[in-house]
Amino acid sequence: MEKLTVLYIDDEEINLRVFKSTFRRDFFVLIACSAKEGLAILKKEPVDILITDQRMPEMTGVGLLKEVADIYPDVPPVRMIISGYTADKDIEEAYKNYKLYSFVSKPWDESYLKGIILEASNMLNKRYE
Amino acid sequence: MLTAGIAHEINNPVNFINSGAVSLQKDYEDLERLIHAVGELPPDARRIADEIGMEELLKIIPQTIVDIQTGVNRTSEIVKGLRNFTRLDASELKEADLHEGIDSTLLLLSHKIKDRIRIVKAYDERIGFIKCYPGPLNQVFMNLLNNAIDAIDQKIRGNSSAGETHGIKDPGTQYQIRILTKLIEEEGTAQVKIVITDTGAGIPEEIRDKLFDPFFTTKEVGKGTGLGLSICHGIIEKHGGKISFESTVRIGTEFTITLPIE
Repeated sequence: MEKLTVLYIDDEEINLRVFKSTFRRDFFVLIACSAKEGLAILKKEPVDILITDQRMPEMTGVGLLKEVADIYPDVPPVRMIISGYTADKDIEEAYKNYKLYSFVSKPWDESYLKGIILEASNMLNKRYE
Repeated sequence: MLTAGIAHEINNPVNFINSGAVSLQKDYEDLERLIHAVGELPPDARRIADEIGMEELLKIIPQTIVDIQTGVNRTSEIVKGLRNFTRLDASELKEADLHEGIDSTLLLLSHKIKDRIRIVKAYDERIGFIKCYPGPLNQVFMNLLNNAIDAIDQKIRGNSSAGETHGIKDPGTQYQIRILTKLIEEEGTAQVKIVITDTGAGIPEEIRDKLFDPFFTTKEVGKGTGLGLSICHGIIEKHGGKISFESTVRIGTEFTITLPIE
C-alpha cells in the first residue's frame, strides 16, 4: 500500500523535526512552520492527513481549519489539532464547524498518534488537491 | 493563569524530548540491525570499535533512551498536577452535595481500601447542598484520603516487619479512617467542618512545617509529585476556608477542613 501523506504544521521547528523523524517510516511526512506555509503546501501537493499545532503566531490551528474547510468543502474531516494546552471553546468550535477529526495533547504518544492517523485515513475518499 | 500558561508551555519541550527519544530508539534499532549484519569488522573498524568500547556502547544507548523517557514521564506528571491545580480557575461555583462528593471519592478509592481498612463515617445530616467548586473539592478529599491510606499502609508495613500487632486482634479497628462532618452555626454565620482521621504512621515532627509546600514529598521517587497537599491548601483557600492537621507518630493524623457556607 502506498504511504499516506501527512502534513504537520507547528511553529516550533524542533517539533517538526521530531515528528518527521518519528513517523518517516510510516508516512510520507510534509512539514510547515506556519499556517500560511501549510496552506501553500496544501495547494501544491496531494495531502491525505492534515495535523496542526493550535497556538501559533499569525494564524491558530483552528483558524487554519476554518480556511481549509472553506477552500476544500468536500474533503472529509481528516484534520487533527495537537496542542500543549487543554481543549477549549475554539476546539469545540472546530469539531462542530471546521471538520476537526481529533484533538491530541502534547506530549503526544507515538503509537496513539499513529493509531489516530490510521483511523482517520479510513474516512479518506478524497485528497486535498 | 500564569502557572497554567507555564505548565502548558512546558509540554512543547517535553514533547520534543519524548518524541526525539522515540525516534532515536527506532533509528538505533535500525543501526543495530545493520551492525549485526556486518558481522566480523575489518581491522581498521575493529580498532575503533575497541577504542569506543562498542559492546558496552550498544547496551548503554537503549538504556539512556529509556532513562530520558522516564524523565519525560515524570515531568509530564508534574505538569498534569499543576494543570489540575489551575483548572480551579476554569471551574464554577455550584451547589453540590458534600456527602455525595466524599462517598464518590471513597468509591474511586475502594480498590485501595479493600477490606483491610475500616471506613467510619459520621455525617451531619443537616448538611445538604453547599455552594462550592465540586471538582476541586473532590480532589481535596481524594488527596487526603489517599494520603490516609498510604499512611496506614506504611504502618502496616512497619508492624509486619517489626513482627508487632500491638496486642490488637481486630485489624479493622487498628487500621481505620474516620470521616466526620459537622454543621457549625454561630452568630449568624454557618460553617461546615470536615475531619478526616487515620490511624496511620503519623507525620514526623520535623516535616510538619513543610507539609503544604509545593513539591515537598515523603513518597518514593516517582510515586508522588509533592503537589497534592499544596493543591489542597490552594483549593480550600479559594473557598475561603481553612485546612489544618494534628498528628502523632505511630498513632495517626487528623486533617480538619472548615468551609464557610452561606
